[in-house]
Amino acid sequence: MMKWVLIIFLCFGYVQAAFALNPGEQAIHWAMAERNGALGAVAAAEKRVEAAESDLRISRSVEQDIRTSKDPDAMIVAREAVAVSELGVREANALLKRARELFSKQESILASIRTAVSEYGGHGAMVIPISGEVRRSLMGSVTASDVVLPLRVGERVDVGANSSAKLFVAGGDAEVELSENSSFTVTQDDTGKSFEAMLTQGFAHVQAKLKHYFGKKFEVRTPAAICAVRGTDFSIRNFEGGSRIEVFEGTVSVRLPKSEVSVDVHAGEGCDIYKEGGIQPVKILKSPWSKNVPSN
Amino acid sequence: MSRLISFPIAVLIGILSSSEVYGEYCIDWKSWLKSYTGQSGHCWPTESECNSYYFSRCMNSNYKNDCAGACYFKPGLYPKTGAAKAKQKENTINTALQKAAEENKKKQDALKKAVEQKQFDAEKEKLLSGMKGGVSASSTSNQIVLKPIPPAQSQLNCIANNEANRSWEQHAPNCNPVSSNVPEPGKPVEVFGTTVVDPQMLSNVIESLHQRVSTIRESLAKQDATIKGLEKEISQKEMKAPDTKNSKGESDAMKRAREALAKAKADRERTAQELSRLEQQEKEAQNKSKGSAQ
Repeated sequence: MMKWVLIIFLCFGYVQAAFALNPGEQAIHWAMAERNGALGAVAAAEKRVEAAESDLRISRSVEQDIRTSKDPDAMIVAREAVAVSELGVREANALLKRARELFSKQESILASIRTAVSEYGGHGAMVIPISGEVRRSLMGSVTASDVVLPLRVGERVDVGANSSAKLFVAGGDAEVELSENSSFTVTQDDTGKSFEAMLTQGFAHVQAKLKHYFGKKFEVRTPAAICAVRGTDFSIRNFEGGSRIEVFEGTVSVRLPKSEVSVDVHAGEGCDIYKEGGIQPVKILKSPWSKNVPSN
Repeated sequence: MSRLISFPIAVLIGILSSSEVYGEYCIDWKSWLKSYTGQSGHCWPTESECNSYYFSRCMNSNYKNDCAGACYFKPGLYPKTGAAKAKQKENTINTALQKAAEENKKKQDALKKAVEQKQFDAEKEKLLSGMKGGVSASSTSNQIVLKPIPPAQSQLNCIANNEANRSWEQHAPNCNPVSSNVPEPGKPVEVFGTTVVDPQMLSNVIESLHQRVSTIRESLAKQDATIKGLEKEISQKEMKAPDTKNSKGESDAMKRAREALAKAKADRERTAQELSRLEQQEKEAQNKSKGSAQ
């Protein structure tokens, strides 16, 4: 009986692993969704421009008619309509410009991901610079990364001020969003078997979609804590003297770097881990914590 | 309708029946016409006459149901058209018989005409004698003499004094002139209680009347002038005033302007909504992590 259960369990795990997307495919899916969203925004903006131009035409026509009919009160209203319409046209054009810029950017990201996937296969972790300055450093050499490239083991990603980056990780359909002023180093990446990374600075939002990561390891570390991910959605912030974990979905097992004792933090809970004070009691979060940085 | 059809048929048959005696080229009628006329068909002395009838009548769409077939030769008195002529003697006899028949026909026609004329005269006389008001026909001059009409006033009085439901013809002969009920003229009225007899006084009265009339005329003329002035003033004001005085025009123009303004404002609001949505999209695309980190 147990033998059959084990076989079924293994088959299930195999099927999940077989159908899991590699980081390149994940990145392409994400970029296409973003691109389509931007395309929708462009279409909506074009409609707004069309409507605003139509309003302007109508307002001008009304103004012209009223000019001949000599109705001063109506003329005031018509002039206001023309002014509002002109403003509307300007705003709609600005909207369209922004939407097109966004679309263009999403297009270029998609193109860059496709190029990277076609060149490197897209099996390893992949970093996508979203905005601002994203630097990659390996063995002391630093390069400003404005194109999509696979992330190698030991490589550190530094996200500058007012910048952001996205990381797609193999095996586990995991996505890590790196916010400004964060440093993230991949310490182990066995392309689907295990993944370890170190958040030395800043804030990361981790989404690991596979609920059962059977026999494999997915860990995000900070100098103060180690977070073993078990199919979850959580964020981790590293600050001076400790880290803060906030779990939105699933469970994160937290332990200190030199300890085997772990504390499970479930969805809707959070806890602080201090370098000097260890793991603090888990708290139930009534509202997201992420914007609050502990005072000490 | 049936009378309209049957009458020309009867006339036609009547005409044709006069020459049927000598016919040798015949056309047979159809059964309905046979039963209608009591004759089996009609014959002509020559083939050309028969054919003429056939092509003009039997082939006509209106009468094509009359004839049972085309002309055919009926052996008898006349030789067949195109055949060798019979003896000269027979021809002479035929000619003599034909002439006799023609004379007989003429006599019959003359007699018929005389009878018809006599009948016409009798009917005419009857009609003239039947006319109202004693109309008589003069056999020599053919003029109709009408009965003298009473004077118009007497006729009116007569009508007024008779019952309304009786016609004029019924009561006119009995109408006697009736003097109308005209009232007698009133007695002369005295001016200011006294009868004016003195010519000087009369002239004064007339003069005063003239003055009053002229005064009234002047005042009326002044009033007319005032009215004209006022009318002119109003028209000038209307000319100077813009269309805003026209409540309908004002409301239309204002309505259109307000509609245009409202639409422009509504569209601008939608654009603002779209902009905020785009900003949100941009944030999500670029600064998701950054936003949640702050």
